Amino acid sequence: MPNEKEIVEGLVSELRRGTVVLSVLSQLGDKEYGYSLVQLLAQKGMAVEANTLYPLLRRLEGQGLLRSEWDTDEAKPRKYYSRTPLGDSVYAALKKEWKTAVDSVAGLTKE
Amino acid sequence: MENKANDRIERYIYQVGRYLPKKNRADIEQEIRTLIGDMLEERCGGREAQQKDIDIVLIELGDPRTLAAKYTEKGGRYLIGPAIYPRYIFVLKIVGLCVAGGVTIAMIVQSFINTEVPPLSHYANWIGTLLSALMGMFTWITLLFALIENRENSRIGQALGKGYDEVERELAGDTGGAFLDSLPEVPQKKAEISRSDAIFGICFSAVFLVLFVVAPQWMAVYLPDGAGGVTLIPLFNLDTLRSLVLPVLLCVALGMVRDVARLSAGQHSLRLALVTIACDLPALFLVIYIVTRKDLFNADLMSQITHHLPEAAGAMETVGTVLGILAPILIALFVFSFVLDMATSLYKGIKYN
Repeated sequence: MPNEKEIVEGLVSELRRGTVVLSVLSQLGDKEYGYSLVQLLAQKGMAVEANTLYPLLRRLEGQGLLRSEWDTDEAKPRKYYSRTPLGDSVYAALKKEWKTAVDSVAGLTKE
Repeated sequence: MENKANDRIERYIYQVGRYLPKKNRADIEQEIRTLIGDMLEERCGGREAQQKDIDIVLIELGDPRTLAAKYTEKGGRYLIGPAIYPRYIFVLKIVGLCVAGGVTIAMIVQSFINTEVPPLSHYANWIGTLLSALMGMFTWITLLFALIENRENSRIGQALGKGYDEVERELAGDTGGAFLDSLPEVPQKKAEISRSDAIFGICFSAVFLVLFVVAPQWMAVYLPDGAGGVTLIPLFNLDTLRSLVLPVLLCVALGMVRDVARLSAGQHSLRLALVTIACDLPALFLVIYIVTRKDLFNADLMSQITHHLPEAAGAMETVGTVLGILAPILIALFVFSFVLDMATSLYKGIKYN
């Protein structure tokens, strides 16, 4: 039997999992490369580990929500990601759902 | 120092790459290389990275295989996913029961035949055979279901199972409730088919099949041989039996198809009645074909029994007379039971349809 701490941790990570995509999409209106996004998200209180974020970016690209380009002009070649038009509209839809969910849960947990 | 440190980074990247599909391996490797560089830069500020820094960064990235797995995982890649898992467990249970029953019966028979071996070795033999039979069964069923799960890439799977994606979409509700139409009806109490009957039927077929294929000589009359052991006098002519493997297999398979259909339908319906008839009718003809083969039975049965058991000679005459008309009796019995099965199934199918 898992103890209370493990239960809470498990549930929190489940809660977070769904919000990571929304957070990532939110930051990619302009292009960013992977590690700058790691730092950006961490600064804003939504730390995502690089080994989770990098594969996620690629998956979102595969779904057509992000596009990527290698910038080889700098000293280090970097892959920049940004939202596609599809990504824009998916992000808008997700954001709306999120607002609704936040309001509902806020109402439910007020007491 | 630097060479050795870089060496470790490259080895890490290479190890990740080994588990990546070739298609985008180079791209991901380059991405990880830059990432490691970025992470080291942030960690060290301006100073040169030490071996320890590199180790910490690599540990943070985690086991190369896990990292590669994160890159390759698509939504719902399972060996056996939630869509078919309940069916998988169900099939495992039934087949497990058949296998365990078959092996146990075989071992009991063997312990009667082979009395020279100490009982303990029979137990050991039984446990060993049981374990290896169950393992084999587990492997094959798991393989089969993995194939079904992976139906995107397999025709068998496409024919048999519903893919994970489909179920996922249904759970997410974006099939517009299409699944609502395929929900099974709650059976009327009387229309329900006894699950245990069907399971018993399947197990019986399986055990019979094993007996027939592996040890037809065990379908025999067991006589004490006077030395504490047992003599087996086969009921059937083993040569004839061997030549009948195909029709017997087909016959048992038809019976199993019928029982599996009953099990999955759960209640009587016209469709199930039709399936029953489609299985029973050819099976009946096969049975008649098998029973009417001449030389099916061991022609020397009587004389062999009398040879071993002289005092039974009188009774054997009566038995011999019965055996002479055995084929028509068997045919009558089979026709009766098959027709009864078809008629019952049709009657209930129409009644509860």
